[in-house]
Amino acid sequence: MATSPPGLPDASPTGTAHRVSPPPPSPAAGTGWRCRRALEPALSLLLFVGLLVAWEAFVRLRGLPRLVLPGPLVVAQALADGLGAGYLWPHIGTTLGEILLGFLAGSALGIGLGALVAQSALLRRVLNPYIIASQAMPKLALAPIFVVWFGFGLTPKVVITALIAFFPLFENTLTGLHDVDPDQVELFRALRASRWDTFVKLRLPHAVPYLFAGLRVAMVLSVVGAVVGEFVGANRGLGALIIAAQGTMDTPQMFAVFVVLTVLGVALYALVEFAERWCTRWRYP
Amino acid sequence: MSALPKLAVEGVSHWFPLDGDPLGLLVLADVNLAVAPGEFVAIVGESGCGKTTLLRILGGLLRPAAGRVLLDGQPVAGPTAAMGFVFQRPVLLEWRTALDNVLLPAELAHEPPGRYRARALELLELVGVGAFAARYPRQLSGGMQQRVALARALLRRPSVLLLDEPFSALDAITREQLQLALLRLVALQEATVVFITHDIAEAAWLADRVLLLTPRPGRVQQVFPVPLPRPRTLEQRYSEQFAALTRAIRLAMLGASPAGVKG
Repeated sequence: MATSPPGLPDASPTGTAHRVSPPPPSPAAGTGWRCRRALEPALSLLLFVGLLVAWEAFVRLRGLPRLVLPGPLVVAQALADGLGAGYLWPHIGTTLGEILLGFLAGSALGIGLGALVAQSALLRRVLNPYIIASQAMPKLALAPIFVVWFGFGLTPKVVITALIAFFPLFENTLTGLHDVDPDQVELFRALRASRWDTFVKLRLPHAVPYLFAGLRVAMVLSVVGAVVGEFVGANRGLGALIIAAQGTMDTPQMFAVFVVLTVLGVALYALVEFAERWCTRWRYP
Repeated sequence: MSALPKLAVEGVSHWFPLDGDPLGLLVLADVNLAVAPGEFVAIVGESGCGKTTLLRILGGLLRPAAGRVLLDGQPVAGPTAAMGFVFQRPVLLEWRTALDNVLLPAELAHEPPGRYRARALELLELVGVGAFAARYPRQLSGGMQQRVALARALLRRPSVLLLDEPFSALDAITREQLQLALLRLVALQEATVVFITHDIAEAAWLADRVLLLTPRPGRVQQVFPVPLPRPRTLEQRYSEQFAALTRAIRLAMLGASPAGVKG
């Protein structure tokens, strides 16, 4: 994983739920706030350029061969070639498809089952040890068996990605539906709300920020899932391309794929974040 | 004895289970009370005397261990639309605007919210937050949130309004404004009100009768009729009559308290 998303993951009573990110600071926080906010992206960019320069200088001064560590200029060249000649695009398409299919299937399943289990305290207690065990088990370790079961095509990658995306959503749905303010539950009782209305109009809206915290984690993990799935057995996709580049000792090519994967991950994460901000506008007045 | 009381409490006792004690914790002991239609009754007592428990029993949110509550002569078996609640905290839904929060009772009763929109806006206007109908709770101060909660409680024109220390978390000025808003609304609505508070001056200024509960277990220690004419004004709060009344309630409270001042 290139970067770990801010504020995640956090510990919860069951040790696995991902905390809801706090709302942004209010604009009233200090007079220099506006000025500093404008400066922050510029500083980030400056740091990025500085790191690239340091990297290039390091490679040149040490005279490192590109087989070991290619400089940023060489990587950029490999990337431009791959994108320009067009041979990177089908691999990007394959991996993106696996990520999205797995992410959507896993999230939908996680939310659905989470909502189902949340209906019964008994079910929750009975299933709890299994939930913890399945969280602790490294899902990526299952990749080889999925190749045995599902072959070398799209299916094993989607399955492993879905499995990885499932748990943060399952856990967070459970927590979000359950963590409702008891006073709000009492209010709904006083207003004689049905069980269904209490679920749809109280528990579910309350869980939305929890769901998005889960979706953000699931999105980043989905990229990992798809790539590792491809490592284990594939002839297409960015993961397969890394393995192929390793075989031909084409290190600049590997770095070019790293860059593509990072950009892909960041873009997908930003997409989820955008949806989150839109769906929870009430948290950002 | 002629008119049927709006709300009657008959021999209500309540206790909560307690570890290692087969009898449990007795919080209310044989409480009896009759509230006339349109009457405003305030219940005061030290914290822990079972005020909130009594209110929850009145509203049908809690079944008493003994005794019963009658609304218009009918036993109360659970929450009803005839009673509106205001809790200690505003308890708004953060993802709904002020207006949509006020409309919640109609929505949960599966009545078309469109029919109540005009009334909801009017109520928000009456409690003084008409300009904030489209705001989210996060954008409102504590006092404004409690005003929205008051409007929500009145939406479906309940004939009984139950309030549980609704203004205790507010500063003195805001509290006074909300007390005035409540008096205005209650007069308009002709509702019967039971108001829980630990603030003696608040109780005496708002109510027709002040009921003093003993410390735990709570029972009705004394009833104080309030002689102040309506509509209540701020000046009344500084009258000698008012001072004498609050002093009498305070002294009665001290007399019953185990830690009471002697003499």
